[in-house]
Amino acid sequence: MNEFHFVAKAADETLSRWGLPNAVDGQAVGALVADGAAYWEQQLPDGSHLALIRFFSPVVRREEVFLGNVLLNDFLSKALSRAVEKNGLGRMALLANDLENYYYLYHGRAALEKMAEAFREEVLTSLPGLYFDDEDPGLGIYGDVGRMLTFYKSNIEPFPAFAVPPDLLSHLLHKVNERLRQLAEKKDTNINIILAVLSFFYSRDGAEMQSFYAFLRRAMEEGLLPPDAMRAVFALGPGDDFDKDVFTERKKAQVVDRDQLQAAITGFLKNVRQTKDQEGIEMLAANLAGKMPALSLAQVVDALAQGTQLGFLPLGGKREKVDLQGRLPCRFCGIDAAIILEKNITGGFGAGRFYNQSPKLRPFEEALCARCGVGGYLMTKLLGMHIARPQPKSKDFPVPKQYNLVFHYGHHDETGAQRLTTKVDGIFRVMDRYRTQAWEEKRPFSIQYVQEQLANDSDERRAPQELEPEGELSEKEALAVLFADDAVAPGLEALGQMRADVQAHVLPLGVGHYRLLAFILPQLRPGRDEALDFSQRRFSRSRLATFTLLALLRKLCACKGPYYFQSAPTLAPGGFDHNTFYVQGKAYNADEVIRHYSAIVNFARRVAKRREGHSLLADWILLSDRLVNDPLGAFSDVLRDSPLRGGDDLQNARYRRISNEFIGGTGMVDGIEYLKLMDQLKRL
Amino acid sequence: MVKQVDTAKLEEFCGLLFRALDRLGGDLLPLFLSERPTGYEKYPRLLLGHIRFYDNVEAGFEEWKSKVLRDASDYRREEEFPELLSLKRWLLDNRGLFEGRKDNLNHLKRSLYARVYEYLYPRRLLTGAYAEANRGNPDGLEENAIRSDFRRVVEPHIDKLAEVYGQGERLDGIVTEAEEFLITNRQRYRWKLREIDAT
Repeated sequence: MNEFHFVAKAADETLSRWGLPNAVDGQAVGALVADGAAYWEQQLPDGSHLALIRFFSPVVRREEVFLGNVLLNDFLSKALSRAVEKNGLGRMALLANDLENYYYLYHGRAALEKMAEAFREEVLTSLPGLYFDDEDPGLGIYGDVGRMLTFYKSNIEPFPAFAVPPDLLSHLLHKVNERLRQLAEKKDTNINIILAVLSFFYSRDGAEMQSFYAFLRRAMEEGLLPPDAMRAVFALGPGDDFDKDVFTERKKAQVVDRDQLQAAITGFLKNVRQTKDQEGIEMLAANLAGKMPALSLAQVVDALAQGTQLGFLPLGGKREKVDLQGRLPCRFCGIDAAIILEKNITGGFGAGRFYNQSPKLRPFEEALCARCGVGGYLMTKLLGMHIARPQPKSKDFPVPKQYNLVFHYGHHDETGAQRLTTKVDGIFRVMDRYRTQAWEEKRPFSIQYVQEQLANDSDERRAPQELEPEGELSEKEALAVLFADDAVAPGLEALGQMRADVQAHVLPLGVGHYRLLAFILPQLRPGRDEALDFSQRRFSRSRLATFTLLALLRKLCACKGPYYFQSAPTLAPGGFDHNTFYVQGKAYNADEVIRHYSAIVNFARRVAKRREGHSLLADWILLSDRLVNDPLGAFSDVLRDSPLRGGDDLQNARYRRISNEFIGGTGMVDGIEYLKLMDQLKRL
Repeated sequence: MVKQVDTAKLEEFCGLLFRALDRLGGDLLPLFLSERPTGYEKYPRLLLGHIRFYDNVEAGFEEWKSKVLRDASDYRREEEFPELLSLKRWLLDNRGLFEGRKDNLNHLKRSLYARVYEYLYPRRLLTGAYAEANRGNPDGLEENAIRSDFRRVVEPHIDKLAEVYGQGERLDGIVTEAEEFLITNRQRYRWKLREIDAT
């Protein structure tokens, strides 16, 4: 029960803040949370009551919607306390939470039914904000619509409009217009992005959506896009025809007058405002409106409430079995009726595959329920989208960016989370800078390279200033210390292999002293000849590789709270132990695994050899796993295929040698490091 | 049902086997570390192959023994014969580890090179380093000189080995065995070094 001490402390502090010290024992509240109590109430002499209320909202454990569900729950949990306080129903404070359960202490006179009603109203009012507002962690709103508007072609739907209810069409177009204006203002914007955004959001039909030219032609004819300005954009003279060949040729050759483009977009946005008032917004963006689900905002709120529970009160209504109304169940949660179209932007690369009977009946038809659709939308809003190919030689598809998700419980406030984000971003920037430098010097990029550069960079002014000073250490020293630590070097190497076009995030979920943090990190980049998820898949499947990443985060965090990878944090005894890594559903003593495995991973990292077109990281991950599974067998292979003898072929050897120092009289390189590892392996 | 490989017993077996081969001399185990991996594994692998072929420890060992004795040093064959006998005794006492245990034999085969390397590297490191230090000084390879100077000459290497094995019985055993091996094989080292100098 000791691990629930933080709940007791939070309860005591909340009661003191409310002027009700000792109204209830904090330890008793902690015990209730430990037992997973849904509702507990105590009457106070003034007629009001104190209650411990659990808000439960399920999280679907499917990669495509998991993060979105986590973000949705954060939004819902914050909406609940907002609803109670806004409606004058009393006071409410969040004591503790995991991904699905939020425990609140409530003081007031309202019944649960009243709170549920206020909650529903609050969610309804905040829905446009959830979809389109910029990041506001206080409201549980994350991401930015701008990150979703980075597509440069729209032959396949690149925006998850399928999850946006039609009532929010004007909000969506308002946000899109804002972004269009920003894009047009920037002189270096790829014109294809502007054209793709225009074609997707303002097309009348699929043909216009897929062809920039068809859209421009119609928009110019109807006066939506100012024809003169548009002709000037592509430097067309008065007698020149604006035909498809000329358009394609000028666009390809980048014959684009940026000032005219800005004027054309400004004119377009003005005309859009007028046309919207005259013809209605559905006519203006007919193709887009046709893709939206036939859902009112109230129905979306109903869908979001599906499966949720406030105390003992089910918010989604008491339904023994969900009525699917003749539809198929959702491909992700399997609970609600699928009403949202499954496209690559909503279902990822797996869209249209035979997961259930839906593709057999009508491929690319409804496969997601409204809740999962909103989850997918929120995830894309946070991470953005990209147009990528799953295999090096396959077609490309617009899909949400993918991520690595690590959870952590620790004593961190918002500032602490922000500081962690800065640290992680700082490391990404350092890596990026040295990667470019290595590329310019035609040297392979590695952690050793960064270590060397940091050591050589004796001029303090030239040193990267990415990390905050730690104690008496300068930024440069803090970086050098971090990069010199063997225990975190493999984690740094993994971080260095992550995609640079996706921003890392550290989200504080919930409130209070002991907080649940979500580290959202980009996925690993594959080698040139490898599938998009090759390195990532190898990383995710390897316990050892994930330990190295968790060890790095632990070092950055300077906190021994539990970390979770491919495991969900749970507020249950044994579910959030101190000094523990939860990986693939199993708990490991963090100190022990770091001590135990870091030598093996470091050895694998040092002997793995770069192969043209392949990711080095994927190779050392595989080797370190082999060393753990069959220590001496794998070690024999390494020794056999390493150029340890004088005269061995360095080019054709499969592994690199650890030392280049030859020992006189033996004809071999120094093998002490090999013996050390062998000794470690025998103790596994 | 999955059978657990008995690593501790296999470790013990390898220790006895390598020691016997090393003491029998000849080229049963390489004199220089720069030999190809097949040179390290040849005789241990042969024994495992024979045991696997007959699925009988005694028959396999006997066939292997005759080959080993043919290839062993003429000077060491008789003196070190008890090593072979004690190896046979151990094998017979632990025949359950090999007979009908393809998993153990396969595991040993896969890991053999690492095991021999681990046995041989520290020993040959010391003997090779001593011989190298006395290149051009044939007197340094006399028994008395070895006994008096060996530890002093190879001290830097002993210190390095201590990083792996620590100071204690295990390291002492390695140093003593290396010293003994050098004394026994000093003529081979002398001859080899002279050959290297000549080329």
